Amino acid sequence: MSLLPLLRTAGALPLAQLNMRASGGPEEVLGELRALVEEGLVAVEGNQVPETVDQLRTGRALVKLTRAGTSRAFR
Amino acid sequence: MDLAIAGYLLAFVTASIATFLDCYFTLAKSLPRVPGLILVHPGILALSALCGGFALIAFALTDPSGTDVISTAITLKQANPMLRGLAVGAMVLVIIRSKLFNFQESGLGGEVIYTLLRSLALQSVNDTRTRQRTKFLNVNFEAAFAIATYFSQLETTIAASMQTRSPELRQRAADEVRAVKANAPSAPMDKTNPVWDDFYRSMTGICFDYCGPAVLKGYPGFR
Repeated sequence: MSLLPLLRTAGALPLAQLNMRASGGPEEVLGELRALVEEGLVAVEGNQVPETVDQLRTGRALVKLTRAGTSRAFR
Repeated sequence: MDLAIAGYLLAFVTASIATFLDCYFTLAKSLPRVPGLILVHPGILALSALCGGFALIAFALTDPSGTDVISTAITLKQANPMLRGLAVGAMVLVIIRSKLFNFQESGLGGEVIYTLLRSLALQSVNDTRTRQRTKFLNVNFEAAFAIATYFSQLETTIAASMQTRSPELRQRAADEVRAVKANAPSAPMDKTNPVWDDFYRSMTGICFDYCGPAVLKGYPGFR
């Protein structure tokens, strides 16, 4: 599973919708999201990166590709 | 019209179109649906105009009878101003992105700058796309929840609309629908329930992203 193709297709998504649309369990989604944020490819609005699965499931902050993420996704 | 002015005009227009097409095909190879908004998106138009401006400068500064590498590559040695304008416009993007515009051997140059500007333009397109989807989802929220069989109808609509698409895209859309359905709320349909809200936005969002908003316009109350 990769969140980059999903964000490329959707543009940007709130945390809860990202979790719903991504294949894989919420733990996997959370792990990948945090890794992408650390790599600087994805940003969460207000830097509200979720720390728990519950925060991911109910989060309203928008997740979007950064400029570096956009370059990677639209190569 | 003066042939030289026509040459300048052709150089500008051709380079702008080439840049626009580069942005379009970059989006088209990655997105299920290139949004029509890119035709009027300021970021894409500005980048196209910038490259068009670069073509104007190249047209003015290069000499079709010159023997230097850049003149030869850009003008293709065309003496006729109109043909030279076409050649300059068509070649300018290739030249900008070639190693000719790199600073020494640093790898830093036209390609890096062009890719950076294109990423910014595409990011801006993505932001606009997101705002359009959010607006569409908000405007049609009440209408969707007024249809008792909305979600099953939506699934059928997505499947039917994806029939003509590539197997890879069909698979991606089907995977997303399956993932969302796995998170479907167990409580009865209720527009005030936040889980139903997320479910509506996710399912309708998939339809918007893959099929476009037009396929939903036939639903009662949708606009």
